[in-house]
Order: sequence, then structure tokens, then C-alpha cells
Amino acid sequence: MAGKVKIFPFVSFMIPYIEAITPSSLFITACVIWSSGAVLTVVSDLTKLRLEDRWMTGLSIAGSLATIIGSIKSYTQTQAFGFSGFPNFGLAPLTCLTDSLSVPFTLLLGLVSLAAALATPSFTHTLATKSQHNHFFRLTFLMLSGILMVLLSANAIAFLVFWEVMSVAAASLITTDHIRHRAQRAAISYMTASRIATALFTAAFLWMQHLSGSFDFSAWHFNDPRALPAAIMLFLGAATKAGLWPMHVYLPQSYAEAPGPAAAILSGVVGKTAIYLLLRLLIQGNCESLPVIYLALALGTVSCVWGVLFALVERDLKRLLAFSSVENMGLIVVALALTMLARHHGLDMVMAIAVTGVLFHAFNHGLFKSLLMLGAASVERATHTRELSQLGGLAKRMPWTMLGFFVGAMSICAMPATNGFASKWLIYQAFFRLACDEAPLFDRAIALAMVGVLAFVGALALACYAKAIGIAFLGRPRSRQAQMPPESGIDNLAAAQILLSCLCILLGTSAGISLSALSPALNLLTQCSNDTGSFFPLAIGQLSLIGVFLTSAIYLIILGPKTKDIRTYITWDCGYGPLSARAEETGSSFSHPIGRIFSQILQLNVETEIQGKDRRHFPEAIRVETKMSPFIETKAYRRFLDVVNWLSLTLTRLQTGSIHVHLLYLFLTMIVLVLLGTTL
Amino acid sequence: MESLLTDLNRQEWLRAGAFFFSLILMPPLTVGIIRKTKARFQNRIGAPIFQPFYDLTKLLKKDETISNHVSWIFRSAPSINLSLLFIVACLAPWTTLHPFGIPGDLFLLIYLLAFSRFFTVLSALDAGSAFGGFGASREVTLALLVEPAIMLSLASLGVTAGTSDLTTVFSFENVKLQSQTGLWFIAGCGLFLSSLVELSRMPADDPTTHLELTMVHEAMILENSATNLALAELTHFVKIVVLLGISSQCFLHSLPWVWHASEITRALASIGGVFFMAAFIAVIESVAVKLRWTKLPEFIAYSVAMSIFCVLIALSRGTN
Repeated sequence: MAGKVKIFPFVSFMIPYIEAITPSSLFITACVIWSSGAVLTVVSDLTKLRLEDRWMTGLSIAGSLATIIGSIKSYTQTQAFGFSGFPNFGLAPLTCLTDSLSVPFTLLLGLVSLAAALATPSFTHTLATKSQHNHFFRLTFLMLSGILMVLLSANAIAFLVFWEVMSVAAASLITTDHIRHRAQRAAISYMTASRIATALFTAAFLWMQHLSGSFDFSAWHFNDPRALPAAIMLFLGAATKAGLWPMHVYLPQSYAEAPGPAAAILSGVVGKTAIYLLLRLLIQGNCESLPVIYLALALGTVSCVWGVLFALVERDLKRLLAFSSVENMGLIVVALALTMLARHHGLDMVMAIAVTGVLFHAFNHGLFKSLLMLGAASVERATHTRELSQLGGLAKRMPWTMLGFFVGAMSICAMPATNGFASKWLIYQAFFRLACDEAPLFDRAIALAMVGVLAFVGALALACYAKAIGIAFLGRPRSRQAQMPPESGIDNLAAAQILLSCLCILLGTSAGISLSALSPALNLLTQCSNDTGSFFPLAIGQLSLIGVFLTSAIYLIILGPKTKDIRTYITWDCGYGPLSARAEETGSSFSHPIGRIFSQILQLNVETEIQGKDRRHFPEAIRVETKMSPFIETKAYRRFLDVVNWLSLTLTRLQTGSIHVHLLYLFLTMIVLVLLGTTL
Repeated sequence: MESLLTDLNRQEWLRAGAFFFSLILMPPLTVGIIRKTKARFQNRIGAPIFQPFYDLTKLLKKDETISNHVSWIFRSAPSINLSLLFIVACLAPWTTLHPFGIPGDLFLLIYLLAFSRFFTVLSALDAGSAFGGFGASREVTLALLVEPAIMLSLASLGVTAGTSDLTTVFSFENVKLQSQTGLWFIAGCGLFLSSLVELSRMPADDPTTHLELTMVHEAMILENSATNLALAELTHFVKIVVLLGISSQCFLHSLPWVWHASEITRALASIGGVFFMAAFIAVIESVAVKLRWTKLPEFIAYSVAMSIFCVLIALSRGTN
């Protein structure tokens, strides 16, 4: 009591200051905390200072908390802030803006980085040297501040600068384990994709600057037909970053090679920055040109199907998750395209539902994909493998990881009562409404077809995650690696997963309420003043209560009294004696029937060779080989790379190494430029 | 006024009572009818229609044996699945006795069914038996092919009615739907064909065979025994009734006289419809053979084609 009295004047003295804290100062604090962490690692590299994991994790968490509080604060107030003086990028000063559109994304960043920070010690203690530690923390901090500033940038130049910080940091983060050849390749392909995205963005930004005379995002309007090339380039750049088909090839490599916590941020937030940019420019800038819409619809749909098909046949747990990211990004982009289409036809309700679906699904996907990535990291840490064919029976040894992964899988499969269901339902509903509405027949047909495609993709996703859980966590261990000692209680990594799973369930069961929080963003993007909560009228909270009640009643009344009489015995073996784990279904055999149906797309070939006298009944040796060559990589990109290689080999002849010749080139270029300048 | 209110309430309660009564009685009875009809076709007398009840009560009394490899999924899946199916039954328009007018959203229903499939598949994989794995793998493959068909058939009905709430679509009140005899009929056919696959009935799967290698649903619940098996079976029975009920509702909606019939007639017709569909399944299973696994996509293509016809009809409505 006494303590309270003593503290009280101090607190009341603080209150005005706390209220006076603006979102901008919180975001700047977060950025400063993260950047100072990066600076500290440099200092540590140069001096004898040894940075404890605990300090760095603490810094990371502090930055995340500042971001979360900043997002909550900026929910109520839009604030533009900038620095006209020092951080001036020549063409434009550093100006920032926090408004209701950036809130969901900064909040997502805060939550995911919080979970990743919690999980960090579990990864860093596997790193041997001080420099590896420093490398990992430095790049994580740089990437986080980069993402935050990307989300806050109000003009194109600032955006590009921080976009580069983010991309380069992410690419270097992938090479934390740079000795491995696969990590090197992954980083190079990630860099390539980032380069392409940046190039496209730069071109689009310059085009828009030319049209509007300003680098400010708020000055750009895409409903001008002259902005069409910029819109297309912008979309393609964002599609590359988000990993849409056919630019998705780098995604599985890079997510799989990135260290666990970094993979969570990469898959959870970095891809979403592309979605954020599309929302900020195309949706807020009133883009409604049909070429962009149909391009986005086509690429999004193909990504959905392609991503989930490849996820299904994937044998590596993390690559599976990465391919499923392709699917979800496709889903988000499809809904985004629908938003623009509905705006084109003037269907306000459809537009509002679709854009709410985009926002909510982007947020939810960030949560559950980072949850799943952390689960995969946990599996990898315990078993030192990601190969599904080596795993099995982990549910008993890693109950907490299993629980987290299970909730994540349920959310990503859009099972009711999880957040994934709520956002996917909105997307379904938007397409369904368009099919009902007064739109041209062609668009209604597309909308209704999309409902079918989404159902198909949903069933594929269910198969994919049933496989991931069923093969990795259930059944019997398939290798010695999977027979490790049981998990010891809730450690950091498990705590991070529990945090994210609780968020998934909470957002799902209270979907109507949590959706209402998106109303300001909807208002900003589409000028609709609807309550976004009203778009989701299902009483999902009550239904899940009834479900929990019914389940526990059935369990307690019917199964419970019998529990003491249960006899455990071996799994049914047809009386042939104990089965070995090799008799179990493997990941590839589980997805084989589906693989057979889509063997044309997957390029799946199965060769069976049976040897022996009477080959059918008494085989002596059976050899089965499954071959799968990803179509895009082998056919399209390989050809392209061959052409690039040939071109560069041919062009090396120009590069003589003699300074005189190079001066001549300079001179010739100048003449050409002058000619161009005078004639145009 | 007050008497009217209590009257309405009484009617509502009566209807709910009838609904829950039929929800508990009909699933085993429907299966009993299928088995009895099949037996008569094979010139056997067959077990009594109420045999599934006796089987379930016998199973409930027995002691359970479970594999020593299973996790919590296996033990909890049957109770979760059964409660999911009860919820589905309360939301889905499988009879006209829809209690309390609970709105049953199309997408929610499909995903609730997917939810129960997720648990069934996982519990099949839990024991690490090869049969469970086969069954699970086949189940997800079939679901993948059938799901778009079910979704599109129901969605095209919804698009015609202008709502995704199936309770409204199937309420015999929408004037736009009254004239769509063809749409209802084709949707009913599509849903019926999909249900055959979804319920692991004959052309897709032979529920009475004892060769685990070829089975789908039976292979998945191979490790279940006693109470666990009883719950899994009951879940499947409820699913049979709900899916057959939805397709029989479609057929009933395509008959003009049902639209003008009284509520009691409709209720009786819808219950009779389920039993009729069950008998029809038995006839199919008596005259048809199980298709080879590799031929199944071709069979499912028929139901997909039906759903595409539904979509075309729904899109070509004359308003614009």
C-alpha cells in the first residue's frame, strides 16, 4: 500500500508525458533501438566487447514493443513527420507517414519480430564464433529497421533506400551459414529477385514522378491512363518480391536456407511489404485499369494453384512452407485484383469486402506463416534435418512444437475458429458477391470460377498440411534422428510459438470484433465508411464455444470413463509381426496419388524396376525412382540464363581492358546521348 | 397477441424437437436401410433395420485397444469430429426442420466438413500404420477432386438466390429459385454424385469389403476400436444423412408441388427423401461395381460437369 502511494505521484507526473508520446517518436525509438543494436555489433567486431545473446534479444524485444505500441497509438492519429535536414536523399527528403493503412503492417512487424526475438536464443546458441553472432544480429536489426522504415516512408526515394536496406540485409541473412553451397545459391537468387523488383520499382517511380512532378506517394493517382505502364511495372515488381508465379523460384530456396527466426520474419513480414506497397499505391491511388486487374488475377490464380501443388509434393518441411507462401500471396493478390475490379464496376460493397480480406489475410498470413516457420525451426533444431522422410512421431517428443504447428496448420488451411478462416471467408464472400452483383457476365463468370478454384486450392492446402503434420509429427520415427530425447518444457522457441498460436485463435474466434479494427484502413483506402466487422456476420465465437462444449461433453461422458480400461498394443500389422517404420506412409507416397493426377504440371516421373524370376509374385529386388523437375526452373529460367550467359560471353570481347578503348566508349556514348537529347 | 407468440414458440420448439429427434434416430436408421436393401437384392433376409443401433451400443460397452504409437490426436479426433458433424447438421439444410432459423453459411459448412476431414486424416496417420496412410492419402485426393464440385453446385444456387446463407436458399421462400427446376435438379445430381465419393460409397469405395488395401474410409478408422470406433462410425452416419439430405433437398426443390405443400408434408417429404436416397444408394451398390482407383477422376468429372452446368445456369439468369 505504501509503495503504491509513493509511486502514484510519480506515475501521475508521467501520464501527460505518456499521452504526449506520438507514434512517430515511438517508431523512431524502435528504429534507433534496432539500429543501435546493429552499431553495437560493429563495435563488438572491432573491439574485445562480447555481446551477450540476452542483451541483443532484449534490444530486439524493446524495439518490437516500441513498434507495437507505436502502431496502437497511430491507430487513432495520422501523423506525417520528416527530417528536412540531415537524412536527405538528394532528390527528396526523408518524409514519413503513419496512418491507418500502415497500422496493420507495423503491428504485424512488431508481433512477428517479437516472436522472432523470443526465438532468437534458440538459434544463436548453435553459432560457434563471436563474429557469426554479430553477423546474425547486425543483419536482423538492419532488416527490421529497414522494414519499419519501408512501411513508414511517404515518398519514393526514402522508400527505395530502405527497401534496399531491407533486401540486402535479408539476402545477407540467408548466408548466415555461408559455408553451405545451398545457402550461397539461395542468397544469390534472393538478391537477383530483389534487384529485379527494385529495378521495376525505380522505373515505375520515375514514371510517376514524371507524371505528377512529385516523389510523394500521396501525389500519385493511378486512374490516369498514362499511369498504366507504371502500374504494371509496380505490380510486377511487387509480384517478384511477394513471390508470385513465375517469379516464385527464389522463395523456397531462400526461406529454407534462412536461419529459423529470420525465416519467420522473411516469410511473415518481408513479403507483405510488397502487398503494402500495392495497397498504398494502386488501391489508394485509385487504380482501376483492366490490364493490371486481369494480369493480377491471372498471376494470382496460377500462384495459388502452382504454389500449393508444389508445396504438396515437397519433401523438405521448410520448402513446403515456402511454396505455401506462394499460394497465400496468390490468394492475397487475387483479392487485391478483385478490389480493383469492383472499383472499376463501381461495386462498393464488393470492393470493401475484398480489400478488408486483403488486409486481414495479409496480417493473418504473417502470423501463422511465421508460427509455422518457427515450428519448422524447432523441428530442425531437435532433429538436425528438415527431410520429411527422416521425421515422424515428433508429437510425443515435442508436444509444444506439435501444438504450435498444429494451430498454424489449422489457420493456414482456414479451419473455422482460426483467423485464416475469417480472412479466407471474406475473400470467398467478395467473389461470391461479385457473381451475384450487377457486373458484366465475363467478370461474374470469373468470380464464380474463382470460388471453385479457391475450394480446390483449399482442399489441396488441407492435403498439404495434413501431410506436413501427419508425416513429421505423427506415426513412428522414420530415422534415428527423429528419436531424440523429449522436449524439456516450454523454452523460448516454444513460448514464441505459443504467443503466435494464441493470437491466431484469438483473432479467429473474435473475428467480427477484431475485423472492426480495420474500419479506418478501409475508409482510407476506399472512402467506404462501413464497419468492417459487419462484413463477417458469422457467430464464429459462439459456434466454437458450442463446439468446445460438445467435444468435451462427448469426451468426458463417453470416452472418459473408459480411459482406465484402455489396453495399448502394437499398431495392426496383419499378424506378420512388428512392422518397421519403413512400412509407414512417407511424405512422397502420401502425395503420390495427387502427384499422379497433376503429373503434367509437376513433371513427375516414376520408374519402377522389379527383378527376380517370377517378377510379379516373388520379386528379389524392387527399385522405385521418383523424379520431379520443376517446370519453370528447368524449362523457362534455364533457357533464359543460357541466353544471358551467351550474351555476357559475347560481350566480354568489348571489354578489352585498355583504358583508351574504354574512353572511346565513353565518348561514343556521350555523342549518342547528345544526339538523343537534341532530337527528342 | 400473447397466444400467437406462444403458438409460434410452440411451433418453433416442436420443430426443433422433431429435428433433434430425427438427428439422433435417422443416421443409424439410414445405414440400416441401405444394408437391408442391399441384403434383399442379394436374396438374403439381412440384419434388422435397427442393427446399426445395436452395433453402436455394443461397441460403446467394449473396452478399447489403442496402438502404443498414437498421440493425443487419435484419442480426441472422434469426439471432435462428432461434435463438428452435429454442428454441421444443425447448420446445414438437410431437412426442412431447420431449428431456430440458425443461418448456415455455405463456406462455413464446407470448411466445417473440411475440418472434420483434417482430423480424420490426421488420426489415420497417427498410429503409423500403412493402411491408415493409404486411406488418408486417398481421402485427401478424393476430397480435392470433389470439393470444387460441391462448392460450385451450392454456390450457383446461392448466386441465383443472391445470398450465401443456405438456410435462406433452401427455405422454399425465394421466388427466384422457384422457377429454377432444372438448376435444382442438376445441382441435386451433382451433389449426389459428389456425396457418393465423399461418403466412400460404391463407385469410389466399397464400404463392406475387408481388403484394407483398397479401402478409403474403412482404412482410415482401422486402428479405432470400441467407443472410439463407435464415435467414428456415428460421425460417418451423421455425415451420410447430412450429405444425402442436402442432395435430396435439391431434388425436392425441383418438384413444384413441394413448394405449395404444407410444412408438415415438407418435413415428411424431406425425411422420406433421405431414406429414398439411401435406398437408391443401395440399388446402385447392388448393380454397380467399385471403380479402379485410377478411373475415379473420370467418375468425379461427371459431378464436376454437373456443377459447371449449374454455374452456367446461375450466370445466365435473365436480369442483365
